Amino acid sequence: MNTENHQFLRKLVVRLGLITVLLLAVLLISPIMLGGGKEVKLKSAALLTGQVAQALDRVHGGNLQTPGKDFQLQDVTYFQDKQWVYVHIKPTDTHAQDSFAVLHKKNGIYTVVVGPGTEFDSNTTNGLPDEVGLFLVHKGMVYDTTN
Amino acid sequence: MTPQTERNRALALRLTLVAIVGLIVIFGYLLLTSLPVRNTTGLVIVTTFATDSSIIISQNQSTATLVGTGSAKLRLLPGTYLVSAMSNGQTGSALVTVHAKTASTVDLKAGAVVDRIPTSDDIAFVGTDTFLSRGLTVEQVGNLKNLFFAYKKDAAKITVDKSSVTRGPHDPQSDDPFTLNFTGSVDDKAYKATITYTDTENVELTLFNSQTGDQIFDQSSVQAATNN
Repeated sequence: MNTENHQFLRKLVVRLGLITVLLLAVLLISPIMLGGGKEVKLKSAALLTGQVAQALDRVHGGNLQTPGKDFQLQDVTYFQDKQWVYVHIKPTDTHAQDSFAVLHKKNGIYTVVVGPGTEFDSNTTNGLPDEVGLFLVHKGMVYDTTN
Repeated sequence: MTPQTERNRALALRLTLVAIVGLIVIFGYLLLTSLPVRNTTGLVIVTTFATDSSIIISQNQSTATLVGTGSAKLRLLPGTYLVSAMSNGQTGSALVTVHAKTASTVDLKAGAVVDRIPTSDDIAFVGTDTFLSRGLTVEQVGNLKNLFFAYKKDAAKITVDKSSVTRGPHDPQSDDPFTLNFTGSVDDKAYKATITYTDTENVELTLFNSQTGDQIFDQSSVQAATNN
């Protein structure tokens, strides 16, 4: 009787071991089923805030800013059929300095092409469309480096 | 066979069945959750210029999100994404357009930008050095290049015919500006030009159609600095 019990116990352990191996195999196959990629879903946010946060990351040295919590966009001004946009970046921290940026739409997505900064040299802004360049000049944000 | 043995067999059978059912449930769950993701997303493999660079992605109406360090393998919904990496003050960025069930690769180089504003440095100037031997300062030649840039921001090559440069008449007793006349081409389109200046900083450039003589551009570097 002890021998029979021992045999059944062995069979049970083998079966459960086999099933555990299969389970591990399934868990290993799962990432392969996803092609090895991590699924990323971006949270919705106000237009331009993501790209501005991404640009601010360069300024703040890897400290990713959160729209609404760390900054807000004000005075958003579009030019040339919304191909160009000027934004005023207002930090929620009252001790932090306001900054400004110009974004350009390329392949359907806006990217920051000037700034974020508090003022821009004329060599940088000379390449902007006249309408946008003049807007920055009238805002007093352009300083001349040519003379 | 003893009753104890039968009980053991029954228990073993039940445990095995439960384990198999559990395995099927787990496999089914993974299958049901993975396949739709695989079918509705695209795979994006991001490599960067540094192993410690932070990788961030964003879209027009979404938050910027940190998705990895050094490199990343992502499943993203179809659309265009701005991908950037930063490490030790160096940055690189690129756009990637994701299609469902399609793999894309993005290799971010340090200094790479998605979009940049053109500058006069993008134009190949040929022959402008001759103005240095004709009395213009380095600053004035720089301003002259900016004026040519203001005339045609997407020009690839601007040529000044060195042999054509002539000095205009000037009365040393007067405050009249100095002038230089010359010909050349903007992207193979011929022009006639006049430079006028009264000091060692600013210049004014006037361009004329070489065939009709019509004025096609007239601006001073002072205007360019404040208007463009």
